[in-house]
Amino acid sequence: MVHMPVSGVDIAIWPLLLIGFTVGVVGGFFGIGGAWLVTPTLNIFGFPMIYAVGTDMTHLVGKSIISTMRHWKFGHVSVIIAFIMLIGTFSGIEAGAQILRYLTKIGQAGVVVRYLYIVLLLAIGFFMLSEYLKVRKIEKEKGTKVKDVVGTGWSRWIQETLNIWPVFYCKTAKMKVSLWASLFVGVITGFCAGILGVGGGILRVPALIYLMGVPTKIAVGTDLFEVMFSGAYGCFTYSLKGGVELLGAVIMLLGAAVGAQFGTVCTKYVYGITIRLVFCMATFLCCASVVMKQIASYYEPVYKKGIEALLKKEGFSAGEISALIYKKDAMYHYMVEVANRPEWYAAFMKNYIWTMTGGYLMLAAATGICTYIIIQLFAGIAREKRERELAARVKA
Amino acid sequence: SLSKTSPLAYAGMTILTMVVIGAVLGGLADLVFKALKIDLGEYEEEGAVIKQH
Repeated sequence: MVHMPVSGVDIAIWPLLLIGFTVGVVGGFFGIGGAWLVTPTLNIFGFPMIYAVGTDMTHLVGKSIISTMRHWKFGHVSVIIAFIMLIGTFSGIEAGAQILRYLTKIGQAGVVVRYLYIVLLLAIGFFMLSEYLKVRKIEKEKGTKVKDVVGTGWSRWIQETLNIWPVFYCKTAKMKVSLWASLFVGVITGFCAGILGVGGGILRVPALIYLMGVPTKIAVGTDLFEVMFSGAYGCFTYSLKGGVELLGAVIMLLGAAVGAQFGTVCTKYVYGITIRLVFCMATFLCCASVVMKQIASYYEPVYKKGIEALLKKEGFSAGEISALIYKKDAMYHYMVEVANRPEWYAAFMKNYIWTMTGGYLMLAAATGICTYIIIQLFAGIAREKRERELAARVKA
Repeated sequence: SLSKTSPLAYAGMTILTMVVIGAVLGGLADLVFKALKIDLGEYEEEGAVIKQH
């Protein structure tokens, strides 16, 4: 157990290392931050929720540097697309955040954000799945292996419609890119990320692939390059509010540093189309996580304000309350024995079960995807070794 | 302790810590790959990719 100096709680080291490792593998492979995996899983290990998002954003800064360094060496990073999209992304995030503030003001933020997120994730997931099945059909008809699909009808339409000066040639992606098209896609993804209050990697990678027409692996590397900056921005804003547990982020980063090597190197051994298939599965799992969060949130209004006021009166800090509110025994004591409100405890237990189910589902999903990626990596290494030995034998 | 006294300094130190550790660990991974003699260095192959540009 290690003492967290900001929140004042004690947390075991191994879950933080494990979460860091799995999200490092997944993030390095898909080019995303993975907040949708980290936040629910931190929750089940007793990490205070008010520090979970900020701590995840902070560890993301270090992790994206490590992953980008590796993807850079593979030639998967298009700096020019990333920088132009970043300008659009930050403008979009600000516009989206304004709408989020308005929704919060009228008390509709939670519901609108979750339903919008669910619709977006389902749309992305089903689109990617249908496209993958289409490719498999082409493979069967032609009898050849398709490794990637570059460009779509949408990307063609965007590039042609916004084909206004300046248009530049991107050497990395081997394609012409309009500045306005990149800005347009950046603003759209940033706007969605701003409303949803998420980093946006899970939206930006499909946008780079389907709206920009960038090859899959370059979309992964380019998004990780962008995540370095958007993660630093998120880390800075959460730190200013005191919502970051630096020691927790560093421990997670130690796990992520190892995991990111597995994830990024694996992109060398799998086809772009395979990355898309696993990514589409990840969007469905992310969607399941949001659905569970939505169900759990139905029960919160029954007890949340009451128990928070009671715990504040008992002298607990905001960080301690955030940690206590997920501890069954403590809640039974304060809700039933102290406040004599069994209906609070009944609602709390329903919320607790759905929250924990979501957390364990995400932990299982992260572990499953991570295992699949590592198996693919070692299978790829073995295949490459066989090919080299065969080539050496033929040469001899 | 900076988070209580100067939030701006806390935010700065947080980012700086992560950038330094991230860069060091990234460089360290390179050294490990070199020490283990692992050489890490498809859309250029014709016919392997469906182009819809």
